[in-house]
Amino acid sequence: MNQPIQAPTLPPGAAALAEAPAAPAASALPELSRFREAVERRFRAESPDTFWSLEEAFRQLVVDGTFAAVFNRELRRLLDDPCYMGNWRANQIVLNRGRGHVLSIWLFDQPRRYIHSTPYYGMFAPLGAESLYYDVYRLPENYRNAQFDPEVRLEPAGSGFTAPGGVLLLDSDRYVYDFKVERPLAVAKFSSAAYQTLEWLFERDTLRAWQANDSELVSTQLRVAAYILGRLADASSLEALDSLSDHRNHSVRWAAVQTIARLDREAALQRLRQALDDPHPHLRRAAAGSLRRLQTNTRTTG
Amino acid sequence: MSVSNRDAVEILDLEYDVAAVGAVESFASEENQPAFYIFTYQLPENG
Repeated sequence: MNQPIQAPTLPPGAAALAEAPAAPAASALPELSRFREAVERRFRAESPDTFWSLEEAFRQLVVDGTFAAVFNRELRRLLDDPCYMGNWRANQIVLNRGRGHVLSIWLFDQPRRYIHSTPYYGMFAPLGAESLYYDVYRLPENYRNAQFDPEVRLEPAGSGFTAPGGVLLLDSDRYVYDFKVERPLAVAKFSSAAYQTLEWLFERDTLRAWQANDSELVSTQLRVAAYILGRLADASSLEALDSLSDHRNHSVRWAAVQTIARLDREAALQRLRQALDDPHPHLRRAAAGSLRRLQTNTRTTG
Repeated sequence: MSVSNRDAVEILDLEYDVAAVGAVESFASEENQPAFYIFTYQLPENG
């Protein structure tokens, strides 16, 4: 096994972690039950760095051969009951999920168009006889997760592999991993909920930042809800939108301000003035530009 | 429904859009969500 980087250095604090029901897919197996107990004993969603205290428990799962037992049981269930759905998705199965963490098995089956950052903590272990190969890229000094910037460019930092029986600890604060998929490979993954706001995508040919996605579903949902409220244009929405304009994610805050602007000019002007002091620079610039434009329009039409 | 639109105004977009979770190609984040889901969230502005 060859891992070119050290164990992660963890930042203090993290994004809020969502409540999630435990997924009992395979937790009745003794090894998984022990793992789940270890997670419940040591992991605290409010302190995501406690995630790393579970490294040995995860390594034990890998060497125990637990995962074959999981699939034996799942296969029997799928055969016995055509209505059985388990906790499967197209290329993965979830073995255990709780507040702020998930244990799953993925089938890495096709290369990706972009190189993705990982906005969560993770431990990956290849299953079967083949190693997990990857290229590693360093995030540069000017990288700020919550402030997308297309000028940010990944710096190549070498390649590595994790052999069967090994575990790769993702140092996602400092590095981006590009996993090589020449043949489908099953990978056990233990990961935390997102502790960073955005997932960045980088172009393969230039290594430049290309796009940022929400790392949390709730941010997308809130923006969609705000967008719809803007189309409904009902005055009763102003209070809810006002609350939304204090959300911790800047794109959600701005969606709230944009929607308020569709409902009430004076309320929008008030929010825009407040946004001039917003902690996020993109939002401050958008607020300043919007106010300038509105003042220009007022002079022109007045 | 009482439609307000009291002198509605258009204000600028952020200089860089943030796309929906899992946009373009799902990989990193989806399994960590509080519930699994199919990606159908797409704001019209984001194409």
